Amino acid sequence: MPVVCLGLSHSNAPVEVRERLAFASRDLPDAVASLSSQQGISEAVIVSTCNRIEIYAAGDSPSPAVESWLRLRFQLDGDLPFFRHTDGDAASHLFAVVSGLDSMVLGETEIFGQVKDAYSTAHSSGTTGRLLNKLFQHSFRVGKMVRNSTDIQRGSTSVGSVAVELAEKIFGDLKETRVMLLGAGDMSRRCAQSLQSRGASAIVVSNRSYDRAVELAAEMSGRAILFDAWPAEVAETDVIISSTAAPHTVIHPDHVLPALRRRRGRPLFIIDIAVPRDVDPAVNNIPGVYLYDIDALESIAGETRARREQEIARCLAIIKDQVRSLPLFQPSPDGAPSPIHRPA
Amino acid sequence: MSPDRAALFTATGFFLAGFGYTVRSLSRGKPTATWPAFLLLLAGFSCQCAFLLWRGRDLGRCPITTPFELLTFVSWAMVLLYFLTGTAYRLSLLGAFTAPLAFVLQSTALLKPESAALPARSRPGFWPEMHATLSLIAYGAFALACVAGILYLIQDRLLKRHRGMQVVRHLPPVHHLSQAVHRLILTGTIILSSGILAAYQMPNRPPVGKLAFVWAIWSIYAAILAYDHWRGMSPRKAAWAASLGFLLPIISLWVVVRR
Repeated sequence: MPVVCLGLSHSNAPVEVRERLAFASRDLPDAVASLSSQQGISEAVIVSTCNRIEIYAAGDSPSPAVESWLRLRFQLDGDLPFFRHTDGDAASHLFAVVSGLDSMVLGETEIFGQVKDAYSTAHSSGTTGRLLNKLFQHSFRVGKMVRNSTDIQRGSTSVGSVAVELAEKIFGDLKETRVMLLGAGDMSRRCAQSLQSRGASAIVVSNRSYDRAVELAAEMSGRAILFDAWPAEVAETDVIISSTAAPHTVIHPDHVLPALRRRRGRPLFIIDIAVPRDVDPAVNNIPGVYLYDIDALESIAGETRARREQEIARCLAIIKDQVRSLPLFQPSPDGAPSPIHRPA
Repeated sequence: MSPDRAALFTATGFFLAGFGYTVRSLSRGKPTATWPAFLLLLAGFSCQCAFLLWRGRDLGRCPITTPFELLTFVSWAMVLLYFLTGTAYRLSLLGAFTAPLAFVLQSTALLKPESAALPARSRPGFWPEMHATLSLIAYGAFALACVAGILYLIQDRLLKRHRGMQVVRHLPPVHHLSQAVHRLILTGTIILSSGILAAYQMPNRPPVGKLAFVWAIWSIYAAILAYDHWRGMSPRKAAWAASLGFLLPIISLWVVVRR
């Protein structure tokens, strides 16, 4: 009985196409039950995330049955950029997906949980059987194996996650750290949210427009202060995220040095996301102060991304071995499509 | 080979293996699992305990009678303090860098020609024994502060220069390291103070030169603490002071070992 994987993802379909086919999580149990009741399909799992819609089905003739069900459900006409994999190639593709190799951010781990949820929904709806149970359960083992034996998920790949990683290497536990936002830009807000998600408390927001500061502070359960008052807060702050629109530098050594004496050796981490820069580079020469501007953060994220790219070959070798270990899912002998669809 | 000497050789091997494991992990940029290094250090420490137990039983006193035993005792005290502070403050990698210093101290001890010979049994009395033991444990704390200080300086430099993230990821947070330096200097100074007090209780005071040297070591570390308390010393200066300050205890041990 063939197993087919049919779908589209961020690599071959733009968001306008993906959003037309997206399944809301509350609709998934009914949808997967409807799909598996189609002629030619005996087992089915639907994986629907913001970056991919993939249908795994087993049956006598699953591929045409899945496509016609999709066209009927979403009233589609014309060609859609579906990819199709069968048997071993479908297994390879699923293993690559759960390992984060086919994700927009290479090596990200969220997809592992999303596929697990999709399988769990299908399993509780009674739409999985011997083939898909074996395939999905094995894929979770492969996902763990790839992550544990390669560096595909090591390091941080976004400015926000690099900031969090650095903060943890400066302070250790972030639970007691206090964060101050200078300027209320979107990127600094996201950076602060990343720190908050790791336990940072006491967010202080200072902005030239006080109303905007109050608004952002309320959103982040923090406290707003007038822009003139920020230098007085430095002694009590551990992380400063600066992203003002000022055409000149805002933070100088004179602001930091007096505060350091009162910090009694506690370090100060300054993230300067603004362009032009908000922080005088001389601040980095002060002992105990670590200054990172947007280029420094991007450069670290870029190094990690490059290192992850280098790991792809090792991950694919593991996946190939694991597919070989499944006699029910042998890959096509020649011209097997790549299990991942990364943009060149 | 006597069993105590064999135990010490084994301990030295464990320390070398622990350090080798960490260097290998760091050089390959691989995640450093902390438990193999911890287990190797624990195995080395167990062998040191066995050595001290056997020697102590044979001598009928704390085994710090020869340069060979002194070095072993300092190395043992350093590893003991690591287990007390490193694990409490989650500075697991400190252990990996404690291993090479323990290895150097042990190797130096084993290279001493008298290391195989058992000294004559003698009972120096309670206070002389307390003075020597406490002073050597304090040296162990200063040795560990030196290791933490060096790690701080490496991590601080890498973070300041925005490079070497592969290494940065493996080293403990700078703030934890600076706290460890402070606590270890404080611990060592308190223990050394007790050791000096014990010296003044001895029926026969140690020679003036020896006492002056111990006071000099105490003064350096007490000055670091006082400066930090009153003026606020930057963590970088404290790390340099802890790293270079340990030269004095090293010199005093070297003088004793050369005797």
